[in-house]
Amino acid sequence: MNRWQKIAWFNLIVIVAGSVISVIAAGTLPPEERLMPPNRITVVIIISLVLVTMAKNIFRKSDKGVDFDERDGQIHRRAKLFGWMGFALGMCATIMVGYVAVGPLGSFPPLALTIIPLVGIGLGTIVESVAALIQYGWAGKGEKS
Amino acid sequence: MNRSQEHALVWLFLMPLSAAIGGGLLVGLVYVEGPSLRRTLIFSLFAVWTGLFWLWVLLQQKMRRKNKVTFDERDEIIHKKAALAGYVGVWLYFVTACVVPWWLVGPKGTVSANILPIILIGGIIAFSIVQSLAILIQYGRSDKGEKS
Repeated sequence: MNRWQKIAWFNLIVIVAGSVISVIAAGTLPPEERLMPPNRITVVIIISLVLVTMAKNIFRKSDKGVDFDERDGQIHRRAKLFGWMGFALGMCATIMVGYVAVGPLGSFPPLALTIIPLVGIGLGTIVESVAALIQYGWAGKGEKS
Repeated sequence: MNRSQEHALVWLFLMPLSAAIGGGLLVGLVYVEGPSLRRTLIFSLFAVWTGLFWLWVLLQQKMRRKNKVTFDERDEIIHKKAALAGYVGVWLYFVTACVVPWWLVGPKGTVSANILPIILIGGIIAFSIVQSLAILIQYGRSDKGEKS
């Protein structure tokens, strides 16, 4: 498993675990507090996103040899594009689900809006990691260069 | 000006206009007549279609079996880069659109749920503008884009 596969697995695990913990945290909060950040849910989401941002520092580049060539570049570009597509679709889905849940005559605290881009970027990261893993292979197939 | 540039130029004006009119009409109808599954579905499909429309251009070129080449690797790279730029533009737009109401209303205020589809329509407009501009900038804004 090369460095980029490890990073993709790490991101996938962190975001999925973060989402599961967020859902559990949402279950423990009273309904009126679920859409009122900052609460446990936003803290979990932010910690997950910080860990994802730090993934490249956690899995450091080895001192010997090149670990990124044209093939890696192409895989990354494709994975990024899929990730952004996932982000856009995730944003659409989150906004529409929120709209249907609240109803056209309803209202909500404006702080709840800040959760939407966080959910979008979480979904984008999941799609990007899965796209990278599909292209490299899920386990040991990714060549070490 | 090649075909992609012409398309980008048309989309630059047509898409924001159709998104604003079509989306605004749907949101207005839902507000006046109440929500219905059909309208919500139409609106969601419209948003997804506009977000993924750039893929259609690539698929169309791959399916076309003509001898004349109208779309090569360079065009494909330009379209992919433009889509990426569009998504980054949408990300910046969404962050702004989600933070500005909080700043305007204050943390203890409330915002109407109708702001959500309006934010989405704005996202569609932002995506089409940034993507079209990115295509035009990469080809060159005038006649420089090579005809293949």
